Amino acid sequence: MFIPFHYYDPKSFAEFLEIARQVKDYQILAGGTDLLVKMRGGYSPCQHVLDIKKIQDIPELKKIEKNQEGLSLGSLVTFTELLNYKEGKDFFPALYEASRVMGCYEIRNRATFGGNICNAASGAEAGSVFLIFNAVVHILGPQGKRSVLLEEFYQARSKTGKPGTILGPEEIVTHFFLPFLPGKNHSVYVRRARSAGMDLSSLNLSLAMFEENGKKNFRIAAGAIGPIPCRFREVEELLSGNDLDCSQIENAQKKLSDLSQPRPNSKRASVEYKKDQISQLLVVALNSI
Amino acid sequence: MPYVSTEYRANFFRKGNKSIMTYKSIGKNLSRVEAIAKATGSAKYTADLRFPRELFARVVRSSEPHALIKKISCEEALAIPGVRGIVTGENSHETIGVCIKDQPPLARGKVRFVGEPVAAVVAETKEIALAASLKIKVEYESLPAVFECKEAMAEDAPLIHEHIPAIPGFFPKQGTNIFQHFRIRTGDPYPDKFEQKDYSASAKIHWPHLAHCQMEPHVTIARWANDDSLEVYTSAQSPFDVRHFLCEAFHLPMRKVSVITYFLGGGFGGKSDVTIEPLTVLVAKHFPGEYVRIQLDREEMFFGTVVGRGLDGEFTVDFDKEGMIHGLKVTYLLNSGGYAGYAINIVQPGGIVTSGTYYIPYLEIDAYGVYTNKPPLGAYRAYGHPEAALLAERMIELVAERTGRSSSEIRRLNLIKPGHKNSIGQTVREDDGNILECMQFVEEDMEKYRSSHEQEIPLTRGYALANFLKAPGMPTNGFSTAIVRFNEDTTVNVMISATDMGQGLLTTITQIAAEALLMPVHKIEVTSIPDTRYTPYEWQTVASRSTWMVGNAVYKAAQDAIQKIKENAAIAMGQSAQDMVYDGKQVYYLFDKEKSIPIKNLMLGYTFPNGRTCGSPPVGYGAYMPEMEYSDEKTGQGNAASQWTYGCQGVVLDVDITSGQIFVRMVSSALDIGKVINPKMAKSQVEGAVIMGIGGAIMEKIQYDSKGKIRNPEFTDYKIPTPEDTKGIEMYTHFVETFDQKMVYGAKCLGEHPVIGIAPAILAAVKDATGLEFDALPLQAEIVRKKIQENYTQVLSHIEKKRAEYVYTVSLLRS
Repeated sequence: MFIPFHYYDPKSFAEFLEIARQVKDYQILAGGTDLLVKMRGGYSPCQHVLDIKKIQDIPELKKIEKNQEGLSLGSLVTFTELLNYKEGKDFFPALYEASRVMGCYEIRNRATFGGNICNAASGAEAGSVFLIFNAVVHILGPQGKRSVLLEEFYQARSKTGKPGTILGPEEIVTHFFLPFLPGKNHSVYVRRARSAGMDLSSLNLSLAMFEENGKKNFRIAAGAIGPIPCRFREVEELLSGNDLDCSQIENAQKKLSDLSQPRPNSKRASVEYKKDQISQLLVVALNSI
Repeated sequence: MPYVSTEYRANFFRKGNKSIMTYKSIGKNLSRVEAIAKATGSAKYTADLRFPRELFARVVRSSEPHALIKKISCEEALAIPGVRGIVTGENSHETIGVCIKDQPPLARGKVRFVGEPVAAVVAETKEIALAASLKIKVEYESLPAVFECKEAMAEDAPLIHEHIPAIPGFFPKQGTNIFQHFRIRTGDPYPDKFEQKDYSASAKIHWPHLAHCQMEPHVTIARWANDDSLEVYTSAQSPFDVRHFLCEAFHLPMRKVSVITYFLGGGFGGKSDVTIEPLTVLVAKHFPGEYVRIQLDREEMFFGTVVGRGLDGEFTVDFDKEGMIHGLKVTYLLNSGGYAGYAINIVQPGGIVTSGTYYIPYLEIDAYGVYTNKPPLGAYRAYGHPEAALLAERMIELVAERTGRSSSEIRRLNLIKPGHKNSIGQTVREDDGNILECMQFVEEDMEKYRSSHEQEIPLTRGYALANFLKAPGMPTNGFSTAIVRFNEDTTVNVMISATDMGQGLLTTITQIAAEALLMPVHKIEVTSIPDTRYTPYEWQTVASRSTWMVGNAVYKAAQDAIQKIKENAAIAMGQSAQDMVYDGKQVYYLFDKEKSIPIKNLMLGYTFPNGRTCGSPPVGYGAYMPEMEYSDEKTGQGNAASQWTYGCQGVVLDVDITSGQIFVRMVSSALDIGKVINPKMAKSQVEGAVIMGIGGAIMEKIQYDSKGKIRNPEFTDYKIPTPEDTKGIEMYTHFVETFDQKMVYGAKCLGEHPVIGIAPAILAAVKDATGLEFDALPLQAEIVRKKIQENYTQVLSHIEKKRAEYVYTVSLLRS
């Protein structure tokens, strides 16, 4: 049950700024699949909710577009909308796989990529996938536009409850840009969950492989094994080069396991299981490219 | 009454153990009679009801597992506009509970689990009630708390209840946390038992608390009228039992109390007995004349009603080198939480069936109900039986392993047979059921699967089956009754007070009534909106008993109504009623078929051409209760089980040794349910139960923190199987139809049963797949993986050995 709150639906960015300035303490509502659950559970008490879905003057918000360099994904694009946009599937298989397993039909119809990223949940599907594509986050605020790499956008939560992103007051994320992987490439998303149906991932791993100058390169990111989704460059280096041999993979597994820092006391899986399974997921991912 | 005894009728209509009768309505796949109403949303549930100027109550719950209440500060909450009042347990004296009255609807002075109701805020809207409830401050003085049975049974354990109020038939141990000790002692103790025989083996098993997860949350709306009458609308499986306990607690005459239920969105035992009704009624008492509603949130469903399972069991079995079992010693502990009102009844049936479908001459069974500081335990689909089956089937697997024989041989060797005495001293009858035929069905399915499905690496496959049996647990006077009323147009209303919670009772009763009245089903309307002032008595809709017991009651009521029609006809013809023959359309004279009257002319008595009317509108009444008695305190012997259903279930599963995940591939169920009333519905009942069983065995677990607070009271982290989890499972269902003499059409109980064999079969199949033994459920991936890692080389050699065997068996099967 909800404690009553104020709801605003600004029609323009200027109106958004005006309301945001006035009420100060607010939460942005996109799809609402995280926010409303939190509010109902009393984890995110908030008086003012700003729905950005009605904003008309920022066309990027709801657009999916492929150009020469990559894919531009509006922050209000839902998972279902992406899944229906078939043109990107061959270029970003990991993204489509993550979108397919995220939530359930109803959630995917509602949930947006902006919300998934800005909520900064450690196990968020889009988190680890965006990281392997070096996604760029485009932000609009009172001072104008800025853009940062997703890795820089995320900030580990501190104990004081600081948000997990660098998004400042009166700012919104307008869209993301995912550059194509160079050369011959492939990407996969794998996860462990407790149910084959709707479930949060207990842990997930995204892996991209691309060939440059005859050399195989890897990008690896994982979720729910640290405070925020995270790239693992040391592991990437262990794998990069020529054809992989067993000892190389074993070293990479061990490194990944050692580097992961799962939160103790998770209801989904223990620290030991996550450290064990992240190394298994690496093998599953490598096997499927 | 012209009613032919069920025994007589049953003998008349059967040949051997099969029914030879051909039926018009029974055994047919009649579609759900309420299907359209439910599919279109017009079916009414309690939460759909709206009343003028309704008030909403929000429950403030204990944050402490065991504590004294020092102070409840309400000032701030009371100041909120729209708040009408706050009710606490102070000055209340009502105590509730089914067989042990130990629970105040609102805590008085002390709390015994996290989530116990401490106060209720009553407001004009539910939002105001919620906001105000957050402003109430409760000060506690913590007491030492215990969460596990063993701790609670320790000598220096803190006492959760100072005094245990007991009633006849129950055996609490005052001054301890044991509120019920049920024991079974049969057979002659042999010297140095459990030592001198060739072999003995022991095992233990833990099953944590589970949640029912009904789709419809509990809701109760209560109103005290100013003339001391009470109206209660509630989502209960048991309107009459609710009335019983309300009247007892609030000292009301039953004639003034109306408990009304509509459709239920699932029960699974979690809406049986009483749940939130006394709380709502207590709160409403402070607002006479006004409707007060308590509607639980999903989260509250986990700690605001009752939880299920919660077993700590261990056994020692004694057998010889052939695998013949001679003795069994069982300790069976039920973690019943802070209150025992509901749990107390689960102790006994669980104890009764821990020897499973096997004949064991010497039994020493001790089943204990134990208070702890967890939420109270209640009925949960199959009432102690899945817990007991887990022990019994583990016993078989162990004996097989130790004697080097197959578990199938050990099962057959020890199977209980007609003429044997069962664990409570009843002589097993032919019509109790044919377990052997059930086993054969399941074994065939498993062999078929084995020869037609390849295995994949890194998966390892396991096969196992489990037998089970169940009798309904109920009091010795838990009647079912029914009224059958003919209308002027010769359609019929059947009135019962058993509830339809999705199990399809209205449909099976329609079929039974149509059969009994020799009429087509479309002329029958079974109504079940029980109102304890108008509708016939029904103890509770539980224990899988309704098709059987309500069916019998409806049959008797139909015969009674037919008799009234015959009497009307007899008057019209000037003959005696016993010479009248009723055929569903007309009544004719036995010795002259030409003399007949259409029943349409007998619906309001019989009216002669001159207008004179005699006789009466035909209304029939029927009641049914099988003969039962209390168990003996020292030996547990006695006719305490009224009807048996036997069954066998087999599971084929794969374990992924790299992740510990279990994938169930095939489930075969065979149950002897007597005459099948509606095959399609019976099959779907089995499939639903199988899925629920899989959830309880590999996914579900209520997680508690160190203070006894539930960590996962929602579906984000309490996982139950979804369609995605089950769509790949091949399911086979078989019914053996041994005509049961206690039911007029030979049907037995079915509702809960197909959940029972799943957990034991999964446990044994995982053992088969990996060679590993687990002593706790659920077998979540993490638990399985951990054990595989700890015993990695052992698991690998087990798999290698199995593969060699598999290749050999398949080559045999294919040659």
